[in-house]
Amino acid sequence: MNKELPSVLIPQQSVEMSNVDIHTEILEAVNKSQHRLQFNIKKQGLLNSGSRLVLSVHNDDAAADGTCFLPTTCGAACLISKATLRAGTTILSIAENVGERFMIDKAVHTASMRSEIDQVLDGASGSNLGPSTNTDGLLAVDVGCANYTSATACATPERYKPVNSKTNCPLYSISLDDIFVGLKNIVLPVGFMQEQVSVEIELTQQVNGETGKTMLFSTPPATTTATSYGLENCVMHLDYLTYDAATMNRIADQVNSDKGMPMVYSEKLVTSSQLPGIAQPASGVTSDVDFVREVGSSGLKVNNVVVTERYDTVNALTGVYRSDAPIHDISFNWRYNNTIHYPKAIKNPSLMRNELEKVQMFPMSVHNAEYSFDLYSDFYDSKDGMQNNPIDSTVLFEGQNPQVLGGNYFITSLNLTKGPGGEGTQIANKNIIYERKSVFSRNDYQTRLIKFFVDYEKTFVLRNGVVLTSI
Amino acid sequence: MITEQRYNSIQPINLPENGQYSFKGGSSLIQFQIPASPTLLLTKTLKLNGKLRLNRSTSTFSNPVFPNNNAVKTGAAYGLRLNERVGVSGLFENITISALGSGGQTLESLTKPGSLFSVTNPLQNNQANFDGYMCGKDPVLASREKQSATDCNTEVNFSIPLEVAILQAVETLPLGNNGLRGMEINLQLTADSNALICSEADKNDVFYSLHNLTCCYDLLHFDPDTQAELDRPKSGSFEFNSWNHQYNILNSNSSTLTLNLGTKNTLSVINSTIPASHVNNVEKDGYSTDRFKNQVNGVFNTTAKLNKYIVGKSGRRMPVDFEVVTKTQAGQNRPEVERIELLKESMNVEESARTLISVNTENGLKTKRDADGKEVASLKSTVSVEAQDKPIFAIGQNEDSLTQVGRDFSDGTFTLLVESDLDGQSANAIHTYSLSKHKLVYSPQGISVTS
Repeated sequence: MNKELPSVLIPQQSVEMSNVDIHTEILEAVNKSQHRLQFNIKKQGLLNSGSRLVLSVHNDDAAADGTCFLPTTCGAACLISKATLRAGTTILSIAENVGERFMIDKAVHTASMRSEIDQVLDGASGSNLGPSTNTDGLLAVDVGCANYTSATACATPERYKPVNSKTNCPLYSISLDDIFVGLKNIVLPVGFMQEQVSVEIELTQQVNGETGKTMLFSTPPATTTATSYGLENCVMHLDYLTYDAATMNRIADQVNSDKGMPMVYSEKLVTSSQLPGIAQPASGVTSDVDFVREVGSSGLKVNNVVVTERYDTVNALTGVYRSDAPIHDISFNWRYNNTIHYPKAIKNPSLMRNELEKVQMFPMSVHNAEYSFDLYSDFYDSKDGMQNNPIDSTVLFEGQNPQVLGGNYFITSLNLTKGPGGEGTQIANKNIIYERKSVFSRNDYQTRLIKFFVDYEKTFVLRNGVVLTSI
Repeated sequence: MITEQRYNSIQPINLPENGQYSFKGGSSLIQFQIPASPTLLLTKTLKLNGKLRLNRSTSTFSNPVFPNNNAVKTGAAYGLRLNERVGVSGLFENITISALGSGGQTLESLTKPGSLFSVTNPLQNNQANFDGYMCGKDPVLASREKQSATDCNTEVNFSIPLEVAILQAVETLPLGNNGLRGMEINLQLTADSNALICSEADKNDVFYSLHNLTCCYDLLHFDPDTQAELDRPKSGSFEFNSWNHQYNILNSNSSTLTLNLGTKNTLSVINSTIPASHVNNVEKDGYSTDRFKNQVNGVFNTTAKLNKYIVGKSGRRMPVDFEVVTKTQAGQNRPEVERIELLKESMNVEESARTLISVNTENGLKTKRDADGKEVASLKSTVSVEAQDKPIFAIGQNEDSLTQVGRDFSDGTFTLLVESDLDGQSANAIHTYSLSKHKLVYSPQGISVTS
């Protein structure tokens, strides 16, 4: 990908930083409301992909101060429901389901990264499980990512808790490349683009009666659970990079050439569906149900597909940003281009996790008990399962039983790259097919919402300052 | 040009009738064969998948009865577990990787991998790794032994890499005529009494079993020209690493271990020790990494201090040209930094903080802090949130940290002089693992391995 691009336009490549001039700007939104923010990016140099969007969110009920916290899996990323990156009227990238996607990305951050770096920026505490403080042999919220007041009580540090005040409040931030995945592949040469580059953010709304969309509460607020945004705090911290004249001229020459500058980057396409539940089975009874779903992907060069699924309920600690594991192992397979991906449908959750790591390219740093319910169930004793819960119910996080964190990272995948870091697979004129067998049981029979995040290659050509995109 | 990365999954070629492998049941050899093909094997994708059962004595194939460690399930507690730093790999007595060409040329044969991994896993991973990505693939792995035990109260799935050096040191292996010509993996299960740890009344009848075993791996497929090239017999070679194991007994307070490693490019040597009576003893951890022990009335419970050791080749001191004196701890109860650093260097992790062994934890200093930096180890005096407080005692050294070519032991012996407080009546086993480079040479006539 992007073999012909100058190295300064590829974020992962280490470049000589001594010859770069970094211009930092705090950019106010040109248009802002409780639903939408719009930022116009300056035409200057190269836009650093690590530039950040800063937000603040507030509980409308002032009496709820001290009880609010952000979802443990994704923190402030949940505040963005949709983001669009445009050059003029041309859409370069659209990011949907940013909270869920950030939850997927954070699964491969190490525990210390989540507690020492991510928490400071996105405000998500309680993101790791570790040895319980109250019972040797069980798990609880890791001591490194929360404040412990006793062996049985811990909470989000005060400095990360949303409050009612819009002036004396914590600010959260998320980097542009975490919002737009394509910016992990390329640095945007905004100084060479004729048309105005803009970022439009649609903000997640949580109205009275709802929780878990923008924040959660350790005790239900007396008047309202609604939240709002501190619009005066919503800015972008941007870094514009300007390299030495030779480097910038080389970029300019390529942009102004007949061929222009083709830039290949990743984009996500989300297909949502449902897996209908059944009537609750009797104790000890299971029911197998087969599902087939089409995943929108025909005509695309697909790198991978990542799947999340959850019940249509709110988790007391992770809100709606999670992927619920089934109690009985599912088995699944994929079909594309007349190919069956696995010789036999895979059923082993540890193997599913290994398959996901091929996509994520890093080890998935969450406990087995957070990925699946494999450790929990002795089906030879009872098909209802869940006899062996390894999470300590006595060590409360934000007053909630941490057992709700079990099986919140059941993320599955399909890897279609050719070799590590290689090109994706061109999907012909028929969508990828997802085939699955679910085993419903007494405590796991409800309808599931399932999302397929298709990562595909997209190209835009920058020629004489004009941006042309592929599909 | 790569045309496809293809997932493959194979079953053992000697699958028992009910698909259950167990030492007790007599089906203790697991064999996989990856056929020859003009492709490249992506070594890091090769995983052994299956289900693990720890069975109480009353357990049967169709009605398994699992332990109830820490009484997490309803009913009475029943303790039966594995070593938490080794995991499923501790079930193997031997892992052999062979090339199918030339009648099964052995590439690596790692004996007692559990005794090696009980040292290398804590050297290469910290607590968060054990309780994060490692336990995700192998639920037995954990930073604390009770946590690992809880995870074994049911039938659990695993999907683990085979951590033999040949698969870790190279990214791809050619499986065609221009390479290994196929590969065979043999896994020999170890005795139940060696792998399991149990003190219950029926401890001699407990057993482990493995089910639904498969080996999966990804192959890189190429365009027809490259494919033909990989399939055309011709000469070539590539280098790979492998571990070798030797087993000895130390008893006296001053012993010199002399081993004929016979390898030309020896990269590092690691020695770990265990009281001889703890091997194949179901009541003891067969993969403990404790210090030398003296016995009293047959019970090995008195630590025999290591006072000094010298490593060398044919008696000459190298690569450490001084005596490593460990008799007296440094002042102010500080840890034995020198020994720790040498051991870490043997695994090339000397600069890494991502290991269970640090100069702090080695000395029992509590390091856990909460998000505000408050010390949390004492929230409840009987419960610790640190990694299990038990030593990782081993002697190791990198034989060639400068050039990475390795030391030549084909013309001399490896020597290890150990001075300790062993009383002469307490046999302590010592496992010696040496990591060395080898060269696989292939030609139309066949393949051979040179050390």
